[in-house]
Amino acid sequence: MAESNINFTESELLERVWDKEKIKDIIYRRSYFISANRRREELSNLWVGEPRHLKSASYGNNIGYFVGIDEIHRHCAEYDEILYSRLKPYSDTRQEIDYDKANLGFGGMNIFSCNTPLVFVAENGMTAKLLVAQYGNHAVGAPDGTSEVFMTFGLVFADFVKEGNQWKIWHLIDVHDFSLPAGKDALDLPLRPGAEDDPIVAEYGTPTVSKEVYDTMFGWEYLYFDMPKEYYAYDERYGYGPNSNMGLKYFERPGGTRQ
Amino acid sequence: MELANKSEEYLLDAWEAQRAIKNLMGKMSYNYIVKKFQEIFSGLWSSRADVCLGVNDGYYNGASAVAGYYDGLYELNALISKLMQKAIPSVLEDKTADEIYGTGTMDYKPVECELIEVAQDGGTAKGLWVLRGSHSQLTPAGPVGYWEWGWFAADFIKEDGKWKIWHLLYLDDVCGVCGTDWVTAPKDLPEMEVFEPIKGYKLPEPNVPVKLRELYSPMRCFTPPPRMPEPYESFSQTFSYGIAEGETENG
Repeated sequence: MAESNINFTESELLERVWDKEKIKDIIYRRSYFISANRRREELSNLWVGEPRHLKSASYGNNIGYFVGIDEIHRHCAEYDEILYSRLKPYSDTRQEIDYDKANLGFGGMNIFSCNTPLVFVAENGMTAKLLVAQYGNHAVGAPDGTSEVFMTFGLVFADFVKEGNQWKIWHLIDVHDFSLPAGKDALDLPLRPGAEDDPIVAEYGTPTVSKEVYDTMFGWEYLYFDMPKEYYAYDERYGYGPNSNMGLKYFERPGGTRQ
Repeated sequence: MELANKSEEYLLDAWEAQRAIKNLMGKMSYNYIVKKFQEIFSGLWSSRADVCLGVNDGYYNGASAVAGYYDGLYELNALISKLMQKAIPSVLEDKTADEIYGTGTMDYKPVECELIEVAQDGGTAKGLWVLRGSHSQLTPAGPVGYWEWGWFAADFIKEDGKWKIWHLLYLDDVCGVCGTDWVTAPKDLPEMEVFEPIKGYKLPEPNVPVKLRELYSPMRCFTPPPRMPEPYESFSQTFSYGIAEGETENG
């Protein structure tokens, strides 16, 4: 049902307009935190904080979910280990570059940018769903002066929940399509890039729950059913947490041809 | 923005302010595409004397310097068009300078991922955008395509009811030749005599030369994005994207 057909007061409509702006602000702000390697601040500033949401918070990628805020923090620690492994070649060969937290990200570049937002606030005003396209670039340098630079393509799906009068990220999935190396022919890329071909794949980590959330072989048509749409209240089957239908191929969904 | 307990009128005004600022940045972006550089300064920038444009290699500090930068872009494009006319006489030779202005190169600077904070007092605003662009430049070998990744960060001020750019940072992380890995110097291309005059053209330099940002290289320290805008009451209570205190025209 279109939002305009529901009997919101003018005041409620204005509040909902700003709800959508605030939600977009959060996901864009997340991009800047990620681009700045400030992942723990991203969690403390933008994600749920109330005890009732901490265990059910989840961060997902193509291969599964980190469930619970502690697990998402563990994933941040996994990412730091990757940054340390990328720093080591520099500190091993260049005296002036210490193997130190202050130098994490040396020779690297991360820009994650979001656009084309699709936002729906639940009719009951307590949750919201968002989809954005996420384009970026990602570079891993080496002390010999070479670098592997990639353009990256993906999507972000997220559930937001209201805590007090603040919107917070509750469940979020970074869907990764592919990373295109700058200056190389796309036809020369492996059909199924592994961690050695794609730095984003190398950063997936070890999720709490392994699950095929997104299979790059089949493209986006399976994600059609997961696109946000108007809704009354949160239902975990249609959200973006580990117990959702997210990632199920259409013929595997309830009512699908293989049910 | 802090919006709790605000009146409906305030909420509407704040939303209109955000929309106007998005439109302002959109106009700037589209003016790059259509190469109306002088209209960027005359139409979109504040009339204040303390306007400031920061680029990777320094600041254009003050109205004269900022206007000079955009005038320089206009003159460069006029020269490019003239050289293209010589290079492709069959298509362009019977056209006037005005008719061919803009020929030869393109400059896309789409802006996205916006963070906009309007001051509680409604007089100023701040914004940060990702720039994910592409452009071509005329070299002595002819037009060459580039990928561009960077940031726009701006302070805005309301003048006579309209939002204007007050301070702008236009900072690049990547300005890489298409078809290369963006960090290795591209191979030399054979020069064409008709394009040789482009060698002699230089844009005006920043009048406060200071390294604000290095382009990405594998030997660059990790360089985060520009500082994010935060909610604020009035401009004196927030940071500026303009020239830092203590920096002078002598650096």
